[in-house]
Amino acid sequence: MLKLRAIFTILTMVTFVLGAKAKSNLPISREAVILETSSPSEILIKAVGYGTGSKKAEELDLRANIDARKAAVWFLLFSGSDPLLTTEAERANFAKIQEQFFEPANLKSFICWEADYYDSRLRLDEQKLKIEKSLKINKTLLLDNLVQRGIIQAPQAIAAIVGMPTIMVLPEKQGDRAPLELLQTYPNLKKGAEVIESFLTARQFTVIVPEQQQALNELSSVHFNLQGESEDYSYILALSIGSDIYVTYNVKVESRRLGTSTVKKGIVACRAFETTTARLLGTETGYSQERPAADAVVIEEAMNDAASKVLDRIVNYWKLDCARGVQYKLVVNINQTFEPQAAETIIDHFVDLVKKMAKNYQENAVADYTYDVLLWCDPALYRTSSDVYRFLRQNYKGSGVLQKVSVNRKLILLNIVAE
Amino acid sequence: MNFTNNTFFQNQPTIKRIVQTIGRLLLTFSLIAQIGWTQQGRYQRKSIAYVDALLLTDKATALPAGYERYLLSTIHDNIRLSRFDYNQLPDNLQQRFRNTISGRTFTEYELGDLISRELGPAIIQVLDIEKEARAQNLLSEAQRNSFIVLKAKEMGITAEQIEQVLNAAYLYVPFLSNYQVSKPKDDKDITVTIEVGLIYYHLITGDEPRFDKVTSIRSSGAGSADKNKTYDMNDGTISAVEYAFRSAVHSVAMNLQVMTRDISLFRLKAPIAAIERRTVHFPLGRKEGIHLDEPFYVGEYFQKSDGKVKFQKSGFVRVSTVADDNQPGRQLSTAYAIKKGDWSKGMTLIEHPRLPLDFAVKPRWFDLTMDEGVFASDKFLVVFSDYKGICVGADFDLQINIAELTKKRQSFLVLGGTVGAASVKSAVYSTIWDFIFPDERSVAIVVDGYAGYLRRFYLGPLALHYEGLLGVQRLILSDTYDHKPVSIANNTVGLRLNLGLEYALNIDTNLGLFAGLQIFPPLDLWTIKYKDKEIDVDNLANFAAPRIYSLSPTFGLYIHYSLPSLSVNPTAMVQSSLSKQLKSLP
Repeated sequence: MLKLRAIFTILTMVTFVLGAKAKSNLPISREAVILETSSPSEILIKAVGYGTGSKKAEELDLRANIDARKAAVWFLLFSGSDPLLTTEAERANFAKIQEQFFEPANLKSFICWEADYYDSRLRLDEQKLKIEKSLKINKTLLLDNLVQRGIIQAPQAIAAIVGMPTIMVLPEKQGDRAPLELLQTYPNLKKGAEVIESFLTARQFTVIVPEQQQALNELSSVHFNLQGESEDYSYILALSIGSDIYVTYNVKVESRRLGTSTVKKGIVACRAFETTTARLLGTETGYSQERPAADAVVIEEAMNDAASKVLDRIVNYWKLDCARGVQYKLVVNINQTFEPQAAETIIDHFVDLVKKMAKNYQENAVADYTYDVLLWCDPALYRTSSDVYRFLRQNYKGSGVLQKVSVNRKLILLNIVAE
Repeated sequence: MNFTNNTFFQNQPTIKRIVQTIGRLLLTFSLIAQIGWTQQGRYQRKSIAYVDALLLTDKATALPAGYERYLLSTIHDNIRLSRFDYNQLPDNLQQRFRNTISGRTFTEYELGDLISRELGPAIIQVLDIEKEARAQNLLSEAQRNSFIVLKAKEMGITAEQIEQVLNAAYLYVPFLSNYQVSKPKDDKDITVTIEVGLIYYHLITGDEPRFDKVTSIRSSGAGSADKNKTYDMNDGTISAVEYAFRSAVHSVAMNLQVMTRDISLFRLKAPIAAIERRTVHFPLGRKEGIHLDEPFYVGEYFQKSDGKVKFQKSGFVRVSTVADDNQPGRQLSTAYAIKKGDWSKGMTLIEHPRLPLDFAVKPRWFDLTMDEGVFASDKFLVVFSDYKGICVGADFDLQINIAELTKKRQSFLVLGGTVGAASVKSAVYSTIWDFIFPDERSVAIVVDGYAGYLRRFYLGPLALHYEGLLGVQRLILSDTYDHKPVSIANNTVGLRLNLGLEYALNIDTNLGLFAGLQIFPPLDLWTIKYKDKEIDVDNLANFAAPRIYSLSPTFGLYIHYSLPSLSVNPTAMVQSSLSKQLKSLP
């Protein structure tokens, strides 16, 4: 018995010592800053790395380099306003593989460029070295890797369930001038739209280009006129609100004289809204460096900065929203020929239908003759708005007749008229 | 002028001026500190303008006509370093400035204001034209990999870099604080001594551009020439005074160049890009004007417990190849480690500016043999006894680095001389009494003068060298004749071959041992110096001439020191011309 106890004690001590000695792969430094979004997939980061635990300069240098790489990746995963790991579940999943993930060999595959020289190098003590260096990380590769490992859900997987959001990019309204007119008048605004669209397409979002949309609208209008029929405004409205999300932006180019040169700074603000509710999903401002360059260059630089962050915000929103179901906005308008009490009964009937159909719902307005509600439905049952409309049409047993005013991707407008 | 050279522009400043000065200094230092820290471990190109006018600290120091131009051109040629971009000021402006300062007295502040007013706008104009091209050099590695360069194909520079260019402009003003010509009656040589300095100003751009003094450096130099001779130069025949003056100017200009390179703002710095055994690779090259064999300290920035950051040296290297970093791509020069610490990539190399010459002292021993004989001239009779013994002396060498010329590192042109003594017995017979009571001398002086080639091979801190020297050896006997001193010398021509082993004590000093062979055969060549005249004479007793020779091994100690400056540099003129020619090579 004593022998057994001694063996157990020794084994425990050995385990404890080995466990204590086992070095974690997690970064010592968590200091990093994004310098620039070089392209939709590449991020230029300045990261701090610490080399510790050796008196040899070369070893400290190697360790500091590895730590800087880790810090850069860590920053993209966890820090900043739009980390890749957003939900608790994702973080918990990642925690299980983090030691393996932060293996130096694994990290190297995400680094597409590393500076040859340090931005700074400081020996803090005999056994501690601090370096600052710039690295370029391929965020898309990083994201794909996390998806492959099952840490986060692939955007494609979300798309398979609810589809990727459709996004329209429009300049912010200025006075009475319509966004489309602004796009046609100001090349700087058009440049801004182009940069955001480039980001969106690179990330496989469905993008609605406003000018093209307008051309299509005009074509439909001509088509109806030729047939001698009046324009189907609801269809045009549906086309117009054909996006799940719309992004508005404004562009400013400030300039000043530096000697005989004019240096310009691009400032852009990007705002993303949920189309049906006008809910603000994210706002970001991007700045370019001051450069003696053309407007388009500084706008692109500033927009790169802002667009990347806003799109991250959109993806995160979409992921969270998908977990709740597919979102629809339902507006039921009850003809005023109905007595108020009858209208109330009709609304109650719709509330019952909504409860039956939706996983979740949120009433925006319940007026005497209007019922405005947001629905989150099971994508397996209600993949499109037509499915929702069909359910309502088939199950509405109340007074009057249910009439479709408009059904587009997100918005379902219905009328109840007297029989 | 109301300023003296000891306390430059010694004037009583008002309280307002003191406050202004402190403010300006604080601003300058904070800017310098900021530049220094943000670009830790990396030299940032500076631009330099100069005033082509000479300030005199005292009217008494005024130079003869033509001398001032020579002094200014020589200084400008030496300060024209590749690490600087030059802001060439228009001639008419320079002339106007010269006229303005001519015959006037200035305080330091007045001078600063005058420069700001007269030259500031012109320098800013030059900077303005050049700023974008120069800013290209300041782009960081990350910026070169930024989307703006990769995608937009723009220059990639930012206003920040342009401002850096505008804020990295300096100007120097040469001044002369001493000029003396000495013509001793009992010496055939004339000596000119000068003291010249440079005041460096930093251009602060802004709404009201101004110049703030950064530092001033000064050096003195001397040159000698035979007062009875004239000297043929490229630009005609010049007098002995002018030759001595030019020689002094070259010494001073070379010293000022080293001192300028040694100003911390202008000192070259670079991070180590890679280390292979004892070879380090670093991103400096022709563009910054580095040369073979130039020494650099290696070290790292260390943060002390009080938060202060200090550069800690841990060895030194010498440049072994110079990259042409004007070419595209990553061009790296290399240097070999003499004293190597615990180094790694990213540590910093800092220039240690020195003149391209070392001064070596070599106490040594060699054998001297004399077979008895007689030297006779029309006035003197000298009898030499047999002698075979050692001669103790010391070599004093200037080792001029010619690596840039030979393209072989650690190759030197050696110019030097030996002074030694041997216990040779001789007697000069000038009267009958000398035959009855000979006054025998027991010591003879041995003097060598030689030139040759030395090559050194470093193996870590140890170095092996070989040298071959050709020279003249002279054995000198001193006595009196007719109550006046006389020296009778036997001359011989020969060669020396040495092998040495050195140890680098520090970046400037090597200590070691050497052994060699010297071959100075017996020659019946004689020189007599009597009554201030030195003449070559024939030995009338050549049938019985003494055989004085040294065919012997020689061995001794070796110590050399790399000089930061040299007041009397006999090789300065040659070195200046050589370096000018090397600069003009493609």
